[in-house]
Amino acid sequence: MYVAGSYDCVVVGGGHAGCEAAHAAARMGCRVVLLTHSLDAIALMPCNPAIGGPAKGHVVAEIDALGGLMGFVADQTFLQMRMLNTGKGPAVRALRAQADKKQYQALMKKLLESTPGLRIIQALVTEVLSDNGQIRGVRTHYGAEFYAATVVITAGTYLEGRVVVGQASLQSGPNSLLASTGLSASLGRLGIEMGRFKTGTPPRIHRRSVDFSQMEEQPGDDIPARFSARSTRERRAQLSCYLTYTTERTIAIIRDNLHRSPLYSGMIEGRGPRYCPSIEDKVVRFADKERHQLFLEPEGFDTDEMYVQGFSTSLPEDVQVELLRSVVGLAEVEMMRPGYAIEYDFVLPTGLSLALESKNCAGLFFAGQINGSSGYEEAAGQGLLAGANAAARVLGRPPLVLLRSEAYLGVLVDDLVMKGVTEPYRLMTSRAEHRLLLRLDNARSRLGEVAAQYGLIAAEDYQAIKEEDEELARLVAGLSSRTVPNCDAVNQVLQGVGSAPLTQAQTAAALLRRPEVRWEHLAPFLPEASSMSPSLAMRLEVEIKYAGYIAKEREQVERFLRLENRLIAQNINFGNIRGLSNEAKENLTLRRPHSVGQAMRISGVSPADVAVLLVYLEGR
Amino acid sequence: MYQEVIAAISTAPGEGGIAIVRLSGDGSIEVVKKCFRRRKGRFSPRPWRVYLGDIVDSDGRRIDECLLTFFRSPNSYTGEDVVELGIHGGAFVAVRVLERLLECGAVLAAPGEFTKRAFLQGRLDLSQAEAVIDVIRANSDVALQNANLHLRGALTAEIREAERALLRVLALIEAQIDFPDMDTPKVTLSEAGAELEAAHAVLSKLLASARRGRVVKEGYRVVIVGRPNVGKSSLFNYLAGQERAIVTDIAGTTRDILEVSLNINGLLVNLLDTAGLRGDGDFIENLGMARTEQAMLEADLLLVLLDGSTNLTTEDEALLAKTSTTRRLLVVTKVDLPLQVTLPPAENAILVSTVTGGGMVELRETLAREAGRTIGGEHNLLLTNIRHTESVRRSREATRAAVEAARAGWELELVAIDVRQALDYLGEVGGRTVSQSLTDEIFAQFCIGK
Repeated sequence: MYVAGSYDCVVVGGGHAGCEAAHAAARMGCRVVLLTHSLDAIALMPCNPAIGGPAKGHVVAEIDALGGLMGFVADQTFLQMRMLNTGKGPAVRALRAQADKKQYQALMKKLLESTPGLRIIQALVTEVLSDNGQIRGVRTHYGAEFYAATVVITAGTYLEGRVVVGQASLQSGPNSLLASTGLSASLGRLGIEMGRFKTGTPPRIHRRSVDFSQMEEQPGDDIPARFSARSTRERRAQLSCYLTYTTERTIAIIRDNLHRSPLYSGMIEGRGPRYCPSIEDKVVRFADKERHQLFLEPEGFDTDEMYVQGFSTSLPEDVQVELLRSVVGLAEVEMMRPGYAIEYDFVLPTGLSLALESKNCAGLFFAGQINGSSGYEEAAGQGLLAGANAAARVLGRPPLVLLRSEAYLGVLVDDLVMKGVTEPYRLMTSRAEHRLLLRLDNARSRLGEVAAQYGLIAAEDYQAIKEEDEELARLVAGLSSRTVPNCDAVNQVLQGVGSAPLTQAQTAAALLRRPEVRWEHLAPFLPEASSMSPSLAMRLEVEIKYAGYIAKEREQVERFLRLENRLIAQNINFGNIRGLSNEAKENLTLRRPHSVGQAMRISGVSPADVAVLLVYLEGR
Repeated sequence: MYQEVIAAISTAPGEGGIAIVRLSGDGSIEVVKKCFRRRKGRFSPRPWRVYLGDIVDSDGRRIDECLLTFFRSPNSYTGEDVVELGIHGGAFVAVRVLERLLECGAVLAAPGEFTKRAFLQGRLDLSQAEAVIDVIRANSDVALQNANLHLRGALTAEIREAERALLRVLALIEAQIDFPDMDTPKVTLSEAGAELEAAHAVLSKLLASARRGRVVKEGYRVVIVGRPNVGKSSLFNYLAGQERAIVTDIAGTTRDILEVSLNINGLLVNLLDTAGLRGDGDFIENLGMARTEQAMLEADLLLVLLDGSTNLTTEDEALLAKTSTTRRLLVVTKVDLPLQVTLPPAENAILVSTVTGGGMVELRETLAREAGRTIGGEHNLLLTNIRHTESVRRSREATRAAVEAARAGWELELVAIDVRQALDYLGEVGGRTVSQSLTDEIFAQFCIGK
């Protein structure tokens, strides 16, 4: 045993959560060390090569708004970029990148290496050190002790990891990396409650063995958007993805081999996610579906490996090969890596505060898949918040907690901590009650102030955000009074989009509120449009066009905030409140909600319990 | 909050076969122990057993024989400890037993307090608790049946049906938004609009039952109108079977509204007698006439009375004109006298005499038929509660907004905002929140995953 150094914050793990945590804490001025069992595994994407998509892309934009790295790195290393849901509404437009995995890792490592105040060390942490419910540091497998006032654990799916393929299993983390043994037991000794989940990944195949002529090509966008405001927009080469389908034979093979699946033979007991079922799960659960779609996604520019999205499986290797060959266009396939299922320990997130700090041990934070979430983006977002909160603790500042009405990150953390998880948690836009307010285009505006307050972004960046917001307000006001003349040119455009022609001059704002009329239709008639940046134009269009719906959502947020602000004193003994169901008493005592709004979202608390609670609070 | 033991007579007042006196609250059994004497052996009650014994007064004298049942918390009606005493009945005896229990430390329960405690203990959801109150207040067989349906969760089931329709659309939209690459069925705006129209229709049906619901719970309002001295009060009294209204032959005797509740073929019918409508009269009478006008507005059916023994007067003509567009039934009175009246063409009338009782069977049957038509089939589910009605109405409004948004061409995301709101309002009746059911619905319906 030897002392390896003292820090403000130790981050355990170098995945997406760990990277953001270490970077955020260092950014706020803390002395930080990031410990990872392999420096080559920093920012590894052991599953799909994609970053972003609905809700996830929003999280990436929020991470960026809070000074984080993920969006910027994805912008520099994508091999394809697509805006999804373009016709479905302003708040669900979602950006998704296919990343070059190696480039992504390399750039992230480089950025961390150049972050002042942050050290990166290869070490396998096996134990947390604490004194009287206060974290003290960590100990590594080789006996090094790192001391710190705060520790952020981002161990992903490595804790007591066990990889399963067919009837064979292996103590292992993802992608043949070392599993983390011992740390889970050490956390258990602190009284932290753990659970066990399962997830999986599909096989990878060689590009040269694919007959793309039988598949549908999916190229990237002609003018690719970017996640980060800091990114430049120069042209980049892009690679295509390909859509193909399983066949009747695929389904027959799966049916014939189900007895060899560890999921159905009882070899795997951990709960897996419903939104990411294995191909054998899909065939069993959706028996009447004749075919399932699959996407082939390149893993990088410099490799021929392709990821088979939709084909996650833990069937034996020989069955995997047979299955792949039954897919349209894969008759000659060369499988390079088999798919596998992985079981791992996670921390019950209900044991955390909204700052992601353990209720069992002060100064000990958790972020990422170890909290029962899934996804790179969800991990990175939690990492950033946990890192910022660790730093806030060191600096004696209040915790950084985002509201559900403020950010997807608020929804994410609140869902995890208040509701808990019964399967790996994935963020979806439908989980956000106030989706229309949580858009990509306004992420910086939503989070700029808090980001600046916590020192996550520079003061001048915040100044620029404020100026843009003011400019936007001026433009909205301007277009509400500016009239568009009733002339042939305008009416021609209107008729072109199936909109009624004008009978008299109308304000630009009123015209823009017609569902079928878009900004680009009006811009030629508005002098201020010529000098406007595309991002500002988009915000302007959304603010005016959807003003009615936005107002409706704001009203709902106010109602929501009234219950959020109905505070519950922390010394209340829920057990003494007559009328509460026993389940509610237990869960309220365990979770200690700070407000009636939070109490409502705790599982096991019925509307009747909330009524009782309100009556009780009224009487105090 | 609720420390004290409450007690009340749980059966309806009056002479019944048996009466039940109920106590609720921790310590209920201690209260009862002070005045219960078991027939055989010691009394150390175990829950969910029935004990035979006597309720005795402070001198040990028997008040009544009694069957005692002890329900231990939380498996009782209120979720608290509950003791039920089945006694022989008779209003006097039940009151004596209750008084004795109050002497022993119980306090008299406020109206609805048992139900309130059950609700607060989480034993009933809001709509069930309201249904219990309706059972207690049920005035007629149909109302009771309806209240029983609610109690068994039928209202919740109907709400669930509307909820399912909305949830199906929302899940389609959300799956498409959250998993754009997946081969989930794509819903177009017009398809979503059509599905939402269907949900709107379900809600409208529920709302239509709201009026019927009021009729079932509060009764079908039948208002007797006619010029002075046409025989309104005589008919009223005849139907009521009691001398309730003052019946004289001086015009304008009935100056206020009189009301009696009748049970006609199991339906609650409220019969209202009004002041005669005429051109002159003193101030009080005019006041009475203003009330008559109001009662006419609120009527489910008007009985327009015409004197069979004279020709139509101008007042009769005016009344017939005034009520020509309302639901009315013409009733010709005094048909025991020679028939003089000429009726308006093409309108049926029932001829009655309060002297001979002629036509009364037909009148009762017609009233039952009319009331039954308004209420609809006996097993239809009715919204009888204002809170429910309000929530369903708002839900329907939001559904309408969603339909219009889809029709106007707003994107799916915007349509979803209104659908979600519609579901939120329905959740106020059934007590379920949208978010979890939505996620479950998406994953149950669609094969989604990487």
